[in-house]
Amino acid sequence: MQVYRNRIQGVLLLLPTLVVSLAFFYWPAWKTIRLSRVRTIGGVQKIPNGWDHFTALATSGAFQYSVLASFVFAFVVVAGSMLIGLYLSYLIYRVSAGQTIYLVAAIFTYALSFAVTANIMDVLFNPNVGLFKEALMIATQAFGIQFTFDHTTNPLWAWIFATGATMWKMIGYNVIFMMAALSGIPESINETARLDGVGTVRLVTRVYIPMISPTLAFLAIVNTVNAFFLPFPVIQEISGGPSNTLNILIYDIWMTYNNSVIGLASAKSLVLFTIIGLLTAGQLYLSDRFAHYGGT
Amino acid sequence: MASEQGQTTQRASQMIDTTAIKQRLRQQPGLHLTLIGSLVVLALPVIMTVLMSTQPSTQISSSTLAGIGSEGLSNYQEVLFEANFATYLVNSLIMALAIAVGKVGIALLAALALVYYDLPFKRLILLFILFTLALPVPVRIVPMYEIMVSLDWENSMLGLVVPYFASATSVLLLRQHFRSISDSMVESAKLDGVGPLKFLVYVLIPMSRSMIAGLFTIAFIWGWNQYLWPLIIINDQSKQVLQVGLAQLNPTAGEALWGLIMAGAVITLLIPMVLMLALREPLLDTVSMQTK
Repeated sequence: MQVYRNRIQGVLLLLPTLVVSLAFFYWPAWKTIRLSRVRTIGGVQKIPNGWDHFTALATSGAFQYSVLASFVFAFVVVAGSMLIGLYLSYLIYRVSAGQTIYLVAAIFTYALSFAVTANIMDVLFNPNVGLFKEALMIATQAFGIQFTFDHTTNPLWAWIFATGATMWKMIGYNVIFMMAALSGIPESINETARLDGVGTVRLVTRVYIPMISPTLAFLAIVNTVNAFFLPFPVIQEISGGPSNTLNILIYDIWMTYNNSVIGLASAKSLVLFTIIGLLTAGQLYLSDRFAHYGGT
Repeated sequence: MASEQGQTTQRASQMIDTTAIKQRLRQQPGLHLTLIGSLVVLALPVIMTVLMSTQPSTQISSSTLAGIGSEGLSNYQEVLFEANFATYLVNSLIMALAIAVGKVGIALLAALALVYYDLPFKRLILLFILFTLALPVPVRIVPMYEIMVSLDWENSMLGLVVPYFASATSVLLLRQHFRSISDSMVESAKLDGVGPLKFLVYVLIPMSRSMIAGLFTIAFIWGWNQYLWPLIIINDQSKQVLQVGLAQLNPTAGEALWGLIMAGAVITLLIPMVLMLALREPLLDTVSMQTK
């Protein structure tokens, strides 16, 4: 309901948000586009470079690997954290006593940072003294399996380590949304299912998952966007993995930026932006569509 | 007498409650066991972190880890006062508070304008604000440092917090919430000729308390957990924040002081964790509003 007609006042109220968005989001984004088309000499002098960075990136095997690795990394952590999140949420949803305590215990990773996650996981799985690494070695050796649990030398283990740590951190966020969606399911549906004798697996796959699918779609996109840049501290902790096997885009950009290769770093930033921008547009479109159905 | 009676009935009702809870617990023993088991596994890294933070720093090896050590106090003392964590803690606190207050405050003004003012191109303005979501720090990393230098904001609290003030999520959620406030409420304010800021302070904010608490918590945790941005613009140790300080505690070569690192991790994770527990309900309500 519109109450105030003074447009200048309205614009003034919007001004702080607009100025910050313009100065620290759109302006640097625009400058990134411009910088992606220059080459720097000695880190200072800028020379026009046309589209050369982009053509170089398009044909660079290392960069193609980096983009591919980013997608694989995102897919693994999003699928993993959503599945575990769904499993925990379902259990908490079904339990009738102590629900709040269980919920809090399931979402605490939301408050943790990726930097803390990277740090504690690195210590716990440390190749020399890590307690979890010891436990894994004892467990696997009992089955006669020889595996090197060293994320500094074994690329496969580095991948499992980095995706696992990221997944762990992302579970809390997923449970918050999934629990909210599950609590929205009318009790009459559970009643009907119970009377019809529907089994657990059918109940979850045929009733619950379809009913919370808008939330799952939202989470799939937001998690994917996040997976492209938030796990940076985890990757940095293991220095991009053995022989750069975990050199995902965000880490690649950071390394290029750190080496003061400004033009190339900007071009790589734009590739990341294109991916995140498309996903965000998809998310806005989705939330817009669902808002017309059941939204408040 | 009366109060004693009251206490007795209260106790009686508590007894009924606990027996009811016990009964319900007994109904799903398998489910409770599965849940407790799963959640202990989930919490294990944090439990181990807390335990390790009490261990003597140089002696730690896998065999001595699983227990409370003797160096709890000295590890925390050392990390706080010798490894500079006391300073980082204060800086993190100021940064997270400023980001949370700034984000929510500015978003309140923007939502007020978007809902209660007759403005042209509203949808376009909203899209303009929303699309900042697609521009996280890594996408802007190269020019952002230059902008900070030209503003003379590198190594400063202003540089740490102001770029975070725009909050698409807060604007969107507050706008949605304001729109759900009944027209009659707004109508009476209009008839009384209440100015916009008074309307915000005396009508809108009291009616949005839970959401403001939730948005504040989200923004505080988000701000507290920032890593890449402080890493880029702060290189003066007296201005540094916990997240970066913690990463610097972890040496790439040489003997690592495991107990100290874990004590540092506990200090770094404690405040957002406590805040989340304290403001759990508004936080959960607000976070889950995002899909609606």
